[in-house]
Amino acid sequence: MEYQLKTRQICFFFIAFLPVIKFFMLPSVLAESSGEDMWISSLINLAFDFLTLLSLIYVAKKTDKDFYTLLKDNFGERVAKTVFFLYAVFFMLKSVLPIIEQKDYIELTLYITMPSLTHFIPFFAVMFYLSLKHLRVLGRLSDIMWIFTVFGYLLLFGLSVSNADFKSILPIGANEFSIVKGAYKSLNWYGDGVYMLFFLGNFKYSKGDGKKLILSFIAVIFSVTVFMITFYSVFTSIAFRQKFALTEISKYSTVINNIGRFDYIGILCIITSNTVSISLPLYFANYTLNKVFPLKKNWIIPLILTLLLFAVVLFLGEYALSIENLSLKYLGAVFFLFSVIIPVLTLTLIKKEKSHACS
Amino acid sequence: MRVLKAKIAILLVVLVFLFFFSNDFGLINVENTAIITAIAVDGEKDEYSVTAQIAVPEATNTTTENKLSVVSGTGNTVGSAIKNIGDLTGWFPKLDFCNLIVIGKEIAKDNVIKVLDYFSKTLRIQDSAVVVLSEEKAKDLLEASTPLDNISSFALQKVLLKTTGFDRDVVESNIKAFVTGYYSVNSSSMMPIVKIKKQESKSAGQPDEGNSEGGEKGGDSSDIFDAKTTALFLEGFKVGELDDNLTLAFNMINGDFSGTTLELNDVPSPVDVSHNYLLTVKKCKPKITVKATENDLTLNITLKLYCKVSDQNAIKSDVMDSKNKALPEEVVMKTETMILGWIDGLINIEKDTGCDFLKIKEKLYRNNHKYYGKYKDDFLSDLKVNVKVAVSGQK
Repeated sequence: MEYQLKTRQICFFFIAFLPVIKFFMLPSVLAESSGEDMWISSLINLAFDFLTLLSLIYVAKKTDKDFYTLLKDNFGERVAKTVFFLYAVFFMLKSVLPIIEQKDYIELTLYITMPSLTHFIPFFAVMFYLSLKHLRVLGRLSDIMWIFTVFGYLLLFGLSVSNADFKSILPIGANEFSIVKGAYKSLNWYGDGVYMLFFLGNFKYSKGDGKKLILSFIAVIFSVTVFMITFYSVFTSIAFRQKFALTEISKYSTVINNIGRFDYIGILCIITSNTVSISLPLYFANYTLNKVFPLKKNWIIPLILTLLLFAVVLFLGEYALSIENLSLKYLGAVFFLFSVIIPVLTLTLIKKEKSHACS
Repeated sequence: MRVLKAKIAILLVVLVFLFFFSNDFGLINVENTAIITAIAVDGEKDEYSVTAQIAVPEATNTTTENKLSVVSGTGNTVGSAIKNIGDLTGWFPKLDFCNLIVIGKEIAKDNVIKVLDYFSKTLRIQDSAVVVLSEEKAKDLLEASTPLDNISSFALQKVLLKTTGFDRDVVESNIKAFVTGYYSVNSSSMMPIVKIKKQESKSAGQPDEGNSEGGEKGGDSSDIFDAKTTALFLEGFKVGELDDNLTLAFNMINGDFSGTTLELNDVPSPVDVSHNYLLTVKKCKPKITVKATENDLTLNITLKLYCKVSDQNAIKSDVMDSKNKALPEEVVMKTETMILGWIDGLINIEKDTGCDFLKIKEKLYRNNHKYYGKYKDDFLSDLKVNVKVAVSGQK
């Protein structure tokens, strides 16, 4: 059996693509709901993702089968196709808000004087192109892109830390309700453990791989938590107003004031990684739909999906606020179901498989 | 098939280039761009009058300064007033390089956040721009003629942003700091008050002092700026001021103060008549803590200063900066008494105005959250204060 991914590439995938998507609008959403405890809300969601990952590492340890085969073997092909179709819908829902957010970011910070959708069209071309590729390509991309993420992160963190008042995150956990509320509202940006579900069967699990995967995910948890704490410590009581955290966080540094905005080098590195990161839901929507509707011409489904997302951005731009509200207020349960509960329940499929083997 | 793919790829690249390079990246013509270096906001008959100091980019083959303009626009909001500047002049007002915002005294009679919130929210301006309150009309500061710089706002920034080697005698305030204070639990903010001081100077080419008639006529007035006093705001409204000594004391207990000088007058001397001293603070270690218990709320201020004598008007003395000599006991006593008096003054003003510039409520919220509910509404009247100041020199 030929495996499309190496464990190393999955580790780099985590580091390259999972943190960056959380550095744009998410911090302000969390700050609005949870105030100084925003990092705890973030940590709660990351803990759920970690739990998902642990479950799926266990599954990978026990079986070489991919998720589709596990479902098919346990419940039959029809159920497997239904679940995969639902996952495609989930991924499409998951992709909308980050794309709108990225479009706003590009238009309002990089092209301030002439915001235009045309500046964002090439992104859809990249997204379409990427979704045509096999997991192997995603793995190779991870091998390279983690450098951009780490460099951008370290540069921005280094520039912003001197202006942070870390005492501003006190008191810790004073308002439990707002922490839970913030965690729920921000589920759109988390649930990254779900990608591991679709890596099952596509990489060979060897002894010690679990540790590597866990360590790389801990690096993600650490980097995101440090970013959230730093963000709140830089902006304190006005953190909720900073919609584009990435551009704002480092600009108060003395060296930036003296030399100029060279922090944009780091920002552009993060944006480069984020281009792939926000393409991932579409990539996996295509991956799941290909199982449901296996077509010879592999470009048809991604083209339809890309055009669908483009239409949403083009025609529903005026409803961005409503889309945001819908996603934050009502879709949290859906995101939690598909990105945490179902992946964790995959463990039960292993048990069934064992009992099948015994019988 | 491969050729077709290559053709499609080339077509896509050409399309992308067309999108991005057919419009100068969407940039506005530089000749139509007004680079605003400072903004002054005044209140005028229920409207805002915004005055912008503009550096107009102009092609030149000499090294002379660019022409400078001061233009005004009015509107019902600050944003509309700035837009009107563009409408009136035909320039696109570019705020990226605006590092100074001056608020007129009329504006300070109302909630100033109505003005500053625009600058805080817009992405067109850096929120690290310095915010100051003018003692008179804000516009006057931008129109001032000063010998310090060709552009008055640049001269003003030199006074406001004290770098290493200068006394920390001006309170630091920018849009972000002010708005953060406004939205914090203590709802308190501050900004320097800038006063114009007229300075008589002789114009070049005028007759010398020997010619009394010519000398009088030749006297030319230029402006310099004083920003050592501080305006205090509670929930956006101006509620009081700190004078220059209290501003100095505030900076002393709040941050980096090393390098700043302190003046001591009439220090009694055991062997001579009283002396005047100039001390340089080499190290300043402030610590402000708030401790709440069920019965009381205590503010503890501890300040340790390590100083050296920079100058004194003694007939005979070798106590000086360059020598490792102990500070005279009377200098230590006088300095400690003076600083204790200043800190008492700060606490009294905090109690009188209600402006929590010492961030006592914030410390109560962060470090004594258990008692926050108990003391938050009346923390100033319940407050007990312990202040310890220790001044030392070479030991």
